[in-house]
Amino acid sequence: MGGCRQGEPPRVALNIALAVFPDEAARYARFVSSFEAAHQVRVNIVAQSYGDILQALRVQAQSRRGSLDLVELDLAMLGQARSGAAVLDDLVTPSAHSLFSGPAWAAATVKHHIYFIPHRLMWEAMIYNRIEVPDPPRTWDELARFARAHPGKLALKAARYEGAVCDAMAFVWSAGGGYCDPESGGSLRAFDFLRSLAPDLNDESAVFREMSILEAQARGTVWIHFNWPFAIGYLKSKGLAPEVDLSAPIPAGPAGTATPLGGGYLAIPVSAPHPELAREFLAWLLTPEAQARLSRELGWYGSVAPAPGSEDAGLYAGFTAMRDHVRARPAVECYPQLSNRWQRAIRAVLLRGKAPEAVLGDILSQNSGADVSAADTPFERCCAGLPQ
Amino acid sequence: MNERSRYLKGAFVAIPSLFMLAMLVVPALGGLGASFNHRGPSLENYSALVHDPMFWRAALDNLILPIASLALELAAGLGLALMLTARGKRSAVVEVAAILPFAIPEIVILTIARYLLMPRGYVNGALEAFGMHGAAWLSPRGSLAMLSVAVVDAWHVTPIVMLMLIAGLQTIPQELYEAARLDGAGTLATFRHVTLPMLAPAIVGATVLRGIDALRIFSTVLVLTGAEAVPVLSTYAYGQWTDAQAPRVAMAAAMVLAMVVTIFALAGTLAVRRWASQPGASQ
Repeated sequence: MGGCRQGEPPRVALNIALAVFPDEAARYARFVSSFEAAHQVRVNIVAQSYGDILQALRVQAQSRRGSLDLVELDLAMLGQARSGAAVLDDLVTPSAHSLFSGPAWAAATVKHHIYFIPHRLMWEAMIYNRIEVPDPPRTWDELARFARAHPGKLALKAARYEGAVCDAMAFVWSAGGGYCDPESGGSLRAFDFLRSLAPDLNDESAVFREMSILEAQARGTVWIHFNWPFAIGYLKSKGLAPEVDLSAPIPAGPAGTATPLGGGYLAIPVSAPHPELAREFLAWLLTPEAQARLSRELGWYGSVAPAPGSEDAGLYAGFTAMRDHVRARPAVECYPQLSNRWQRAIRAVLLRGKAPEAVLGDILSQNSGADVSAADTPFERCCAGLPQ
Repeated sequence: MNERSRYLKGAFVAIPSLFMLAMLVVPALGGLGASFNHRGPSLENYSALVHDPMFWRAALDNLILPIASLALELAAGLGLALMLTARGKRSAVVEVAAILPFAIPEIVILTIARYLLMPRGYVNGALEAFGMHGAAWLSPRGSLAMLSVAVVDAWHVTPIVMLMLIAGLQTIPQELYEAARLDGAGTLATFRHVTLPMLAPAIVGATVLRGIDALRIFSTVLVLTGAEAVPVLSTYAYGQWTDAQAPRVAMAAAMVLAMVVTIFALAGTLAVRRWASQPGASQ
């Protein structure tokens, strides 16, 4: 056995921690096989949750050693992960830059340096029951009319978690408001609109998260909600898309339409054992060919939209329509604190009928409720240098 | 005892002790330290809890839910235990059916319960088949969700209460029942004056054991209603850890829960000891 191996070149292993399910990991392994063959390396895919990957990155950065060469991080974690990630400015050539939208790169950039490479970007769209709602609402007015006409059939993700911010921020941006501008007229308009929807929202909105709201849509309990592209894959697997459910753009508000950018970015830990090889992998990933394969083989349409005329083009039409309206969440270390403040405000308006002015004012206050981090990083400092 | 068996005995004590130290005591102390750490020693994390209305709701639910669940478990467990120990009425099928909920993995039984109670679930389907209106068993609005969680929790663990009470019932001397019968006591009087007092130590033991467990309720709430509909301290801590990314606040909430459980466990242990030391309390 040993004699057989003497002539083989040494095989280096590139360890990539990805937040994928086992079946996705298998498909991803097939996707990277061409890189493995070209570079005579083995790519080990470590399937983990985003939270655990962030923790591993922090430990690896603190101990200055570790085994991870590349890590995938949720967009909402990029600010916290920055100190453990290497600068990747030189990898982003003009052609690589053109693969993704401006907001995608904005989320990857901290203090004028790029630390993260978009990996599988996604954004929200409206999921609707095409049988019950033949003409999906295109504006806020139409959405409000739908909610009033069909109480309980519109749902928002309003559990106390990041998803609540993603749903609500689409409205805030659509009205001209923003994360760092809670007291602006736009934010207030959006919250006024959300409060007007509240009485007719599905009761379970208070506890809905991505999967539970999707299950409610699949059961027919909910006819309209907002979700990520995986929702269409799920509904298709149940035989419900495109027969019953489809995607459509998020209804437009006074300042147009908007959707939160989400998904995973890749970073090289500062103490990665094979940083050069990891950079080669990222450079390979940032080619139009690799992105086309990601779209075709894994159904990750962050860079390349589904081929026109294909089945997916119809299924993901709503997501494709929102492609030019994506907005990035702030890539700041204190993002969880900012998000927690917005979560409380959103729930206060949607579930407890509080006055929008008051709850939006609370976002700015220094020591509001449970937000320990509010004392950590004052709102102004958290938002310093960010667009309003 | 020779030297070799002394070493062996020491090893048997040392290995689990070291395991407990490494896996329980050290992490618990780490958690305690983290709960008081906010850029140095601080009560800030606990202050955050106090100012969060969701924490108070979780704390309240963490009292109501175990009491409701425990009451249901004791009532159902006692009923089943009496039925299964009644002479001439034992049935293997009934015994297996009574124990089955505890034998089924928790996640399976919770998923079954969720399918039963969801808006278009089997329970509402059955109600509608009989011309009645379905109910929002797990809806975050209203108190039905709390009742549903208590019933499902009780359904899952009633067998353990039942087994403890069966063990207690089997220690009651038959002579006492015969004496009661000779004295002309009816079924209810026998139950009240013989069974219940003799079963009291087992009931207290089951209450303490299940009470401690019920205070730590987690997965039942999470699977059935999500963390927000019926918040309890463990789901609150979990939410702070995962969703809010506030690990130190999560530690503080976990410490509050640990304190509540410890106080209840100490009080329960004292109650059991006091009961056992009373003359005539045991056989």
